[in-house]
Amino acid sequence: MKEHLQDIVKCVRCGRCRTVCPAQKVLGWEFAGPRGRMQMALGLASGLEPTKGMLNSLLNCTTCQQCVTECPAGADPLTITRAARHRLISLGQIAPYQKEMLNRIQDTGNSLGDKSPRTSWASKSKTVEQSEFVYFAGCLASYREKHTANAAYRILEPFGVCLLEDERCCGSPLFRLGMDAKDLIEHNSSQIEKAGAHTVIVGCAGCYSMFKAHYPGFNVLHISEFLADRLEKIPFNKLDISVTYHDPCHLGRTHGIYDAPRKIIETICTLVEMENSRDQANCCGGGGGVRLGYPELSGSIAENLAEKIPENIDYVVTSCPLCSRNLSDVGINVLDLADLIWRSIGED
Amino acid sequence: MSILKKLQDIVPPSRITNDPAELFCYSSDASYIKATPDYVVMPCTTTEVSEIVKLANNQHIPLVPRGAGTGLAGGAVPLCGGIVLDMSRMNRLLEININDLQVLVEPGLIHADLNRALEPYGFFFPPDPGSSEMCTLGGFIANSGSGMRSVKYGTVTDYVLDLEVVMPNGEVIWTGGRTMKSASGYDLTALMVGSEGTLGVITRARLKVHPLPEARAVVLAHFNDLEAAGGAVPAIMSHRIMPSACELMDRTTIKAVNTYDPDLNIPECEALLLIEVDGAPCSVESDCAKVADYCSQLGAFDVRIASSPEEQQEIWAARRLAGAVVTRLNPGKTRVYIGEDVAVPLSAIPDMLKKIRTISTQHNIPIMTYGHAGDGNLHTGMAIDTLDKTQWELLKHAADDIHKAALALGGTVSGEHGIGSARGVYMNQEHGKGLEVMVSIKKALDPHNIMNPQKVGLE
Repeated sequence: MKEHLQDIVKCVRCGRCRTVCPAQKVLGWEFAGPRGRMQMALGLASGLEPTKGMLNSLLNCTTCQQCVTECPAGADPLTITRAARHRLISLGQIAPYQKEMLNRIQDTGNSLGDKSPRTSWASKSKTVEQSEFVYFAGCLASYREKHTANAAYRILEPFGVCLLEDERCCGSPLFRLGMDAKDLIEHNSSQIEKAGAHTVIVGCAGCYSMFKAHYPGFNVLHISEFLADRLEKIPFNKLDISVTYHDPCHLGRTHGIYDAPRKIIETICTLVEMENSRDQANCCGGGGGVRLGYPELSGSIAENLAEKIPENIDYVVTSCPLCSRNLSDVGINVLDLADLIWRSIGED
Repeated sequence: MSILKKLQDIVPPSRITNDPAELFCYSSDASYIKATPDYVVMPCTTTEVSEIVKLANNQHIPLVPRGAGTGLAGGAVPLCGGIVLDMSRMNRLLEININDLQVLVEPGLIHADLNRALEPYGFFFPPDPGSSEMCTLGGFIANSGSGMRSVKYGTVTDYVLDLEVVMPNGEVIWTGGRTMKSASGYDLTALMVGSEGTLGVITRARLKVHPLPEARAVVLAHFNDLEAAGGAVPAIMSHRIMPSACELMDRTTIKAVNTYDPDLNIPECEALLLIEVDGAPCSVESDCAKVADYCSQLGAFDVRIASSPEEQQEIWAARRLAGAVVTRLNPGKTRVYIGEDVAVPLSAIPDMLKKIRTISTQHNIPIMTYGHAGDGNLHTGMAIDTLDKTQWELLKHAADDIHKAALALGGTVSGEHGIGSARGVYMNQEHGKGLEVMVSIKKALDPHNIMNPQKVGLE
């Protein structure tokens, strides 16, 4: 951690991050927020022995990035937290669920440990073998939100978008948990090259963030960006519903994609903004491994978001299967953007 | 029975920690002072606090109350170890009573959350610290905080009607009452405000609230001379205008604030005065015009008025965080809060600004200056490579000179951040025999010296 010292001491400990961190809001303790995690990293760099408390503190982060957005001093607790997670692993401090995630991916190529075929979601066989554009479905859509993967591909296929022959996890879960995702990046990159694609279209905010940061050489688009530029070519029907939009942290705050999903939603139905939106959007609580490792905390964060949902709306639309699942689990009526579009097109 | 076991008899184990890494997170506030506690406990009720204090008193264990740990003088740092009471879970807004112009809060409530709750009623809690979004009201009261609107509305002590305090022996008292004023006995409320946890633990506070003004506007006056900007403040007031805020920012601060929020696009100059006036729309308009005119006469080369609430909010949001944003100016340097809170009589502002400039030159260390020019409270900011020990020495010498310069001008070493342990050495010089009275009060109320020992220069 010593190589990060200069970045750690950039934190002036003003405490601004305390009131925006979703985990700290739930847990309260100083060590459950970004300033505490920076302190843990300082401890690690200064020879403080790792403890169970340190491991929990560093793993409680949903990687929502709101601390980075708000930090007046320009510190980056997210990068430091990720580095500290990595350091703890190298010291042999690894939580059972981190090991489980690694095993799942090593055994099955997906973060769910699901041994069934990855493209079983497809309602019809693929028609495009090679293309400049490839749709990367991601693990959650492929195995747990199959309707979303199917809807997304049915919408994209008319644009000549192909699928990878052998898609595997993008590597985001390993990377966020402080592990190495090099093999997955190499595998998926060679698959994309094999498909002849220069542009990867993803439907998951976590995959998007991973591709943007760790897959050099490819153009990466979220499905909302790809479709927002082609609205006139999509046979939308207006739906008589009101929805609000939840900005996934890894799409909104991390990469500034706010307008494309809204442009599509407003073409289809009425959009009512949430109390906190865009760069101030609440985290769903699912990211950074928190859904797997700390389900109770993850649920409480989702419940805090539920309080911000406007009244009299039919759905919370989002564009990340992880957000969808975490919000659904606390009783929120969630619809992925791809499912909304597919419903508007009115097929099936 | 171990202390841990005894604490577990008072609060559930889930609200106590003695994990060394978790304790390490409680070893500092926003100051440079550091010391690690033996236990951190997160109480939820006054009864729990009382029982913990009784235990600490019986066993002679040091006890340090802590809010959000945003203090700038080490007030919440447990210098003698012991128990830190993390009060942030006692954060309920218990009562809004507009008819009696008051609210009842728990100490862990965030300052800005109170104002957000009051806004629909057309009221506000005027003392306005830069740390509004993160500091707790308990810490704010215990440190006698104030902020940008103190020039017109006063400091927190003017708004505390009553406090529930767990005294060092564990007894629970109320210090005041529900009336707007009281001439009944010693003013225990005022004694507790600013006592920095050395006399007891605040567990509830009854605070006075104020109607929101109908309108506000901010005059931005740019100067090419820092001392001229400082001198403009009393001159404006002498024209029978009482601004609701009057903030000074020097060249470095302007640069830092522009870096943080490029949309502000403040012209580069030696000094910017932000003068807010509030009240009825017609008087705000007329006062604004007068302030703008006076500023021009007093040497401002560019004057403009921000009248939209959005623009004002953006300006104040950036100003509030000025202290921390300076870290953005140089990637290798971090702002250290030291010598950052002196206050001088209004007429001495230009002299103090000159002194700071001299100290900066003498020690060859850049010093940014900003603060509440309307009440003489000047904040200085120094950024160093905190991993370099020699720069720390330089910093401490410069801070010492700043403190001494303020005292020589009839000022104080702390306008609003408190003494903690960072400024204790100046208490004798500032208060003389008055400090002996403070020590006597401390000894009488806390004979075992368990409450936040080694703070406020009392030992």
